[in-house]
Amino acid sequence: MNNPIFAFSAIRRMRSARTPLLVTLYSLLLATLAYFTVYGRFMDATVTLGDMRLSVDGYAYMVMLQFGMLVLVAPAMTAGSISGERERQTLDLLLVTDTGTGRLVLGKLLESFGFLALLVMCSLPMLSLVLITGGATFGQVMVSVAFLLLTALAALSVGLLCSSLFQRTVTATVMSYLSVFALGIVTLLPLWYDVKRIGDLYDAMNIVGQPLHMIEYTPLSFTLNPGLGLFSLLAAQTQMFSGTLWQFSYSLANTYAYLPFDHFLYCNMAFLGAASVLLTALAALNLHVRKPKAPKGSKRA
Amino acid sequence: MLVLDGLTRYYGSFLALDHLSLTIHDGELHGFVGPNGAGKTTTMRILATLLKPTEGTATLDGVDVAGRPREIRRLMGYMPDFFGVYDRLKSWEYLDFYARCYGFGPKERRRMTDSLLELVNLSDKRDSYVDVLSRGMKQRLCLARALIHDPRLLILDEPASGMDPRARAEMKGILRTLKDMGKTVLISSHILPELSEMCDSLTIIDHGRLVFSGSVEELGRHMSGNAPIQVRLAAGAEAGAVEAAVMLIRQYPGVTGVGREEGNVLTVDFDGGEDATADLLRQLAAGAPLVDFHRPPLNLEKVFMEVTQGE
Repeated sequence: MNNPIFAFSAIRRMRSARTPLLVTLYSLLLATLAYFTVYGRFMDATVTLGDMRLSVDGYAYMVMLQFGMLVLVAPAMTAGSISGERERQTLDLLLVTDTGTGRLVLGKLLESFGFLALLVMCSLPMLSLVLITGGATFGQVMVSVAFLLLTALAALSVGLLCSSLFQRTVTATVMSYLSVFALGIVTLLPLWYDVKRIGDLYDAMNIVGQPLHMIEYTPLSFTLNPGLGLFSLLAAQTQMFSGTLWQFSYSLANTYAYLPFDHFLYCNMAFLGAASVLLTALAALNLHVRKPKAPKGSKRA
Repeated sequence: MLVLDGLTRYYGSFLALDHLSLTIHDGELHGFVGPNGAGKTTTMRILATLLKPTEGTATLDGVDVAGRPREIRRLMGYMPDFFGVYDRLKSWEYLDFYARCYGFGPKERRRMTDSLLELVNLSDKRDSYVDVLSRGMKQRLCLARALIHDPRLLILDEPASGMDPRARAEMKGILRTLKDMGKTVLISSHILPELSEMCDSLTIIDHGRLVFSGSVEELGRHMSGNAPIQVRLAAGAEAGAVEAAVMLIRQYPGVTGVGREEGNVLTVDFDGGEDATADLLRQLAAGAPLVDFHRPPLNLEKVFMEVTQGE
């Protein structure tokens, strides 16, 4: 790739002793999970149908574990990428080169993404165990990987924008996590209608002939929630959560009635991709030098 | 040619740069002097395309610095007053990285990295990690980085600050080489004597305003024209002869005061030109036991204090 920032950051990351250690720990964690849920079960001579189901569950747990780890790790990875250059007093040296702010932020994003993609790729042998025992197809495993990578990319771009906006890495890191969790919570706000519906149910019991208040629309914000994207992925591929979700929330059930799990997942993935592009562009735009305004009352030449 | 025309910059309501205008010719080593907070770094950051002026323009060979920053970045190399280096990176890799940022291919990068390390006397540190180099070495490496794309104009913000005398001497040597290579260099410092030794021309600014701009000789003439002349008469001269000399000087047109110090030394405040000074010397030599007659060399520290004091 002809992006000097990417190549340079990748060399420095790979030289760090922490990198191989992290890859090893990540793989070991998933391998342990895979052993207890899939492989260990099939060491016995007899394999029951329940064991088969367990291997599918093991696959789902691995996807969930990776989702959780990526969401937790990614914002911090890029939150220091630009503010760190600022703190190290190397940002100006980069900005006066021919690189341009677009290539600068893209290089930073892709380098962190490359490392997370490496972690996800390392998990492929463990995820692929489900192909031996049955329960998910190769295509479905690839969709899971694509979803995980898009989640990582979106979380990284949140960190990148915060790093561009805030001078200090500590502030950028805190703001990145707050933004990621705010997205998770705000997009779930239509669940409030479920609480209202419970109230309506009580009213209906008390007042005879009162029509029950119904929500007859799909809240758009649900499709923007990566957590619901994960549930849809697992529900579509392994039927895990599919029943629970219907019972848990009327508005969610309503959403999934209009938008099947796999379609919901693709909407979610499209949102993650679009958000990544938008946030990265904003991060680059913020680094552009702007003309200051003269204060009011200042003399003009 | 670098032309600054009415360059003004506010930070909020604080006026950091107040209609600064000056011209720097090609191939000049131009010193930019001023006390801390005078606006040197603001000017340099505007020229380095890192800040935009509130008003006014700066042009390099007719190219507007604020309007066409990408073009300017190819013509200009910038070394900031404070800069950091990356850890886990060797000296040659550091230069190689910045060369890549300018889009140079592997062969060119290798060639220019080696020649620049040689220019800044760091060839023996080629494979050393950047973060373990001394401050002076880091500064020279940063200078090499600023030269990586062979810029016509070099903007060096306090390149010798914090260096020991030996490192300063090395930096001066490198700057002379750059001047011989035909580069235009704008170099800032808050120490006037440091710059006057090596620069062709100087600009002094204070509180964001231009105080003086011209050649070092012009500054010398400008300031030393007012410096008192020291006259020493023979130690064994009779009191009458000394009195006669004092009278002679006092009566000379243009002499505004004569002071007497120990050892028959007189200080003469005289604002006449060079011809008048020569005539005064002739008359004194004819009628007094004259041993020495000279204007003391310009005390640049004092000049700097005087020039920036009234602003």
